[in-house]
Amino acid sequence: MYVYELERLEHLRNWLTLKNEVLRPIADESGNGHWGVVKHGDVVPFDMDLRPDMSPKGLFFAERETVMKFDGTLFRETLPEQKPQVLFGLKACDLTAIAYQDNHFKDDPYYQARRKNTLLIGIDCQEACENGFCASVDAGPHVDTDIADLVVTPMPHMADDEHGWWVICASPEGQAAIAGLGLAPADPGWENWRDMARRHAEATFPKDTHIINGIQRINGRAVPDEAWERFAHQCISCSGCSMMCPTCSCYATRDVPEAEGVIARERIWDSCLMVGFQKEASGANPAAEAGKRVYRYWYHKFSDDVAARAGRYMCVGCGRCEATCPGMIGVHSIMEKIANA
Amino acid sequence: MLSLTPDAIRLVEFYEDGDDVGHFTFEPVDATKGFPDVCNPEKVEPGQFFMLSIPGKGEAAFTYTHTPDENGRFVALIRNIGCLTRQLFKTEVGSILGGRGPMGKGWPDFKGQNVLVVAGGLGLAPVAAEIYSLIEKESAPTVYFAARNESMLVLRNERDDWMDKCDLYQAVDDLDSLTGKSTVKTNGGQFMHGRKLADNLAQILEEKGPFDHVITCGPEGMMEAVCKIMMGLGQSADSLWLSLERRMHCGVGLCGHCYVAEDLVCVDGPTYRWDQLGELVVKEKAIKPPAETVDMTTHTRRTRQSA
Amino acid sequence: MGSGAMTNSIVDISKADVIVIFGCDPTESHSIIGSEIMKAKEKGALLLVVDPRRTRLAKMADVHLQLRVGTNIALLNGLVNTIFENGWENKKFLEERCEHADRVRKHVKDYPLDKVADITGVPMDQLKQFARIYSKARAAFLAYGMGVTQFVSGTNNVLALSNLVLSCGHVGRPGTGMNPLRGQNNVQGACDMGCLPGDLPGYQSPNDPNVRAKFERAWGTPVADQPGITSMNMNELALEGKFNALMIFGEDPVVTDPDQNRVARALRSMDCLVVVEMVMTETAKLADVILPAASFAEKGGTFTNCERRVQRVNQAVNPPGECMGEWQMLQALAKRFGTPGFDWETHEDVFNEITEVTPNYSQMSYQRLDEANGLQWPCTSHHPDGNSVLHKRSFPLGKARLMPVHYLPPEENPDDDYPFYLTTIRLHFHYGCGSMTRKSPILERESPEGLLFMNPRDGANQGLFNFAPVGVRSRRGYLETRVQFTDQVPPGLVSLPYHFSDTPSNQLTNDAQDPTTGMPELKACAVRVEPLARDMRPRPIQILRNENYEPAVEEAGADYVRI
Repeated sequence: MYVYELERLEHLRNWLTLKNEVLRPIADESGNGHWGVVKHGDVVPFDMDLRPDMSPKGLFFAERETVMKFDGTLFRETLPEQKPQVLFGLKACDLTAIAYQDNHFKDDPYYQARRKNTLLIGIDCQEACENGFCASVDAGPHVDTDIADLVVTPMPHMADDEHGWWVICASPEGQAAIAGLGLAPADPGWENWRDMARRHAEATFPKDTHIINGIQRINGRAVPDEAWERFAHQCISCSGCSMMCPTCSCYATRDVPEAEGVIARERIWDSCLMVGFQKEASGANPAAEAGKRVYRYWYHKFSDDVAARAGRYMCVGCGRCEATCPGMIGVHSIMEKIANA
Repeated sequence: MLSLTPDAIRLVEFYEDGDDVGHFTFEPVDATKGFPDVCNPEKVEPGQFFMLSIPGKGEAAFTYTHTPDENGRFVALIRNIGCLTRQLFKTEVGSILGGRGPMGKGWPDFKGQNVLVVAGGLGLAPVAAEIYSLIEKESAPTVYFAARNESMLVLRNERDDWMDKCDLYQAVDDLDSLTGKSTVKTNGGQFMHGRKLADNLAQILEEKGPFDHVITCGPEGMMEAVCKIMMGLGQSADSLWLSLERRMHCGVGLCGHCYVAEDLVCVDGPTYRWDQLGELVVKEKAIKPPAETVDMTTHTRRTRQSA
Repeated sequence: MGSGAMTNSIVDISKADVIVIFGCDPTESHSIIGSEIMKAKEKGALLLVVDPRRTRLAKMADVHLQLRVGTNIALLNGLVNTIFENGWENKKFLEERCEHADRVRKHVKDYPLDKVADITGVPMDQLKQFARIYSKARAAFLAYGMGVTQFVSGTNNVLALSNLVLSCGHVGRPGTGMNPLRGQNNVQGACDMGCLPGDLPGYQSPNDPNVRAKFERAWGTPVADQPGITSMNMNELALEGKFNALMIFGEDPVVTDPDQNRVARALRSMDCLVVVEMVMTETAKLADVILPAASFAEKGGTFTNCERRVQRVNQAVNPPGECMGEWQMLQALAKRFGTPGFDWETHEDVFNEITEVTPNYSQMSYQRLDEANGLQWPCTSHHPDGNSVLHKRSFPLGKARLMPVHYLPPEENPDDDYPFYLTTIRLHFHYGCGSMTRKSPILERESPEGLLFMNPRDGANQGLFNFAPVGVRSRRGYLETRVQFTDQVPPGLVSLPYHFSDTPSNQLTNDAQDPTTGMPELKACAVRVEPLARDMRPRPIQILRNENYEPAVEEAGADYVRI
């Protein structure tokens, strides 16, 4: 693995804009982050602490897209076109989720059309973020080099001092992307420093006993149905958690009439917390009770059975559901409740 | 890569086969370059399903009642129940629709085994292909078919055909609904009483058993009862097979709608062995029930029909 | 007490130690406020819910008074009586800030707990518990909704409610207040701007010659000195041939107003009906002219929410085709009529005119609204930064007046022919008449048809099964739908969402009105539930009408053909 030294992140970012569309977290007027395009020559400093409210999943698994069209006699697949793009500054949690979705959608032509032309640049977190608990579910705070093309990690420094960065080439594509940038190779000690920084970062996480207990109780099926039904009183089926969750991947389809008798089939994000998710045409509904749906959601995130198939827990510890849930049953709140149920 | 784009198929025949139930035959629109998978007799197994597209209304899962023949023609038995099927019932013969498949796991190969098939109402649809396949393999099964009343005795032509080829027991819940039009050859020419499921199964076991395997399909409450009764009669849990239904949008394990615990019915099912399904159902319940009972009461109300 | 708006703010929910939810279902109809209530409850506030239905919040509540429909006043008088009898009232507040407390004290003696328990069906100990918790609270936030106002006795309900609030002094401080949750986005703004028949903008009375003079100066034209008429009144006059032309902005009264057969007849009898709409609604189908409206994202302006906060709306995209904002339409019309005074250049000019003539808005401007993320009126020279809590030191009338009110049952009550109370409800998946939300496929999947909600016990007695097709009949109309069993409604009560034009609850509702406000009694009428054949599919109202099932309406069939 090649590792180089980099003085400023903006330098690397600008270099990448030469051949790609580069997206990076950007704050809007209200301070919320989203993924926005950075133009060549842009000198806006990179904000390490900003993590977009929405996970980047929508960049590959579109919130709404046309999958095929029917013209009266033929059905035609409508694949998206994707110019080469770079996601610059992905945190470990989001990268872990992308790695999961890469596998879930490995045979999905729409996802892969966008994904295969995308370079992922990860960044190591130096401390816990609000609601984050990636360290508890093996998804951070440092980026696993198996799931990014390049990883940038800060060099040791004091508080707010200016500091340099190490650039780790985690894939041949990442290596190729910085060829010609003329970076100096890193000193051999970088790995020890990175390891130490990770331990420092992990020490900043608040205690996670409620998460660990909650996972155990879900897997031990130790939470009574009545308790789930009680938690579910607070779920208004807004589907905010599913929309924000970087691993949620369920979708529904609908047919939309277009001009001249052409029908387009779209797929749109869906959520298992909605009462109609499993409802059949006859009205029969295996998940009619709200408690069963809330249980389903968390079972799917934290069950060992699902983890055995997916390779890991479906939760990556980003805490977005906690931030968005209007009913106070996001991950921290529900795990506290489960631990006490 | 998977494809979410259907192949064009043509509706070639339709007749009413029960109250609000239609018997639909489809064939490939263009077979010049070989059959698309959904119509390919080499690829479709009994027990599998396909996604039927009604352009403008969407796509839903239906089981193969007849797997494709050498011309790629196949049959589905469909109830008029939702907005998609309502449109299908209005579709004229000759229209072009879309098909994707085959999907899911079919029934295991029971060649040379003594098999009992227990079907209720539209649950006859997913086992019909298997009955034909077993007859062809000279392992004609014993069939028990029960319906609510005479008008729900579906697949009448198929049953007439089986009458001479296998042991066919038939039952209706409402014996008063019988007009004498329907024929019965087994059981002394009598319809059995559908509500006496346990007695009927015991009688069949005595006359035709023991069975190596039992396949059942119907409303979920019925399947549960069949499995419990058969286990009570000494059938082992790993010789009981059934077929599940769930709402589906993709059929290929992506959309997430058809979950049962960690399984997705579209790729891991729809056919299940009773003991394996029992494990999943138990996981779906938050609280672990005592080890010996497998409680499916929360999973009732599903029928084989989907739309 | 004075003004028709929340006395406090949404943020006060988090400052209260007791929260009372009276006749509304905020998790369904005001989800953000519902969320604040859930958060406050999680942090330890006590939650008291008064509702005939076991709503989501009722299930979470510490005390749920599940009263019979339409018995609000008996319940409230009983509570006030209990408070006075036990000496739990806020004596200092009553003495310093209120008058006529003694009159009410005497009056409510007619409502002893056992009698109230009889009328309302709420056990006595629950009533007493409620009275104790509410009166002993440090700060109690009370929110109420259509379950209070949409009755013939709506005004009296509100008076009885204010007696309770005043007697305990839970007003004028953070975390307290008497807070109506409004029915729609910007309905507060519409009221503020004089869309009430008796008001000029800013709740200024046309009876006041000074006010009239001010508006006449500002507008350069005489101003009416008589109040206008309510929408119910318009229907009546239209049917009498005395009201001939109407322009409707973004409303679907055929679906949302009571007794819709009558509404449709009234609208059809007009000489000229203009509807300004984004989509083809049932009302728009009756219009002579339909003008295309811009959506919220296609125009600029302000919305005022229920906590009196005036907020900027910024245009995000250009309106399609010939769509335009309402102010532009009025302006274009005025121009053709040759009426001067409508020569604004931008929507900001419109707002500046508002601030000139509306004292409550006088210190607002677009710039100040942007800077402050919205300002809460009254925003005057005394309070240039707005007011989050009203009535801190005094009431608009000086002292607040307690008013004795009597309990009267709803206009129409169940009897042998029509044995169920019907109440109308909202579902959070849909908004208003559903003309927008029912176009979303996932929302439509979530509640695809207007279901009739019924207690499982009633269902069993009627020989129904879940999702059974039923006909629902009242003295005014008939519709068909499916029944869904739920423990949300008690036996004897059925509920019907009002969003669905296929199964419009207003086929059935009573248009008896509150004599003061003209608010129709949407929350209670008597109906009969008729089982249909098991396999029958409920027919939408449009088909029932065409089959002349409902003889009250003579349809030109083509009006109602669905695509």
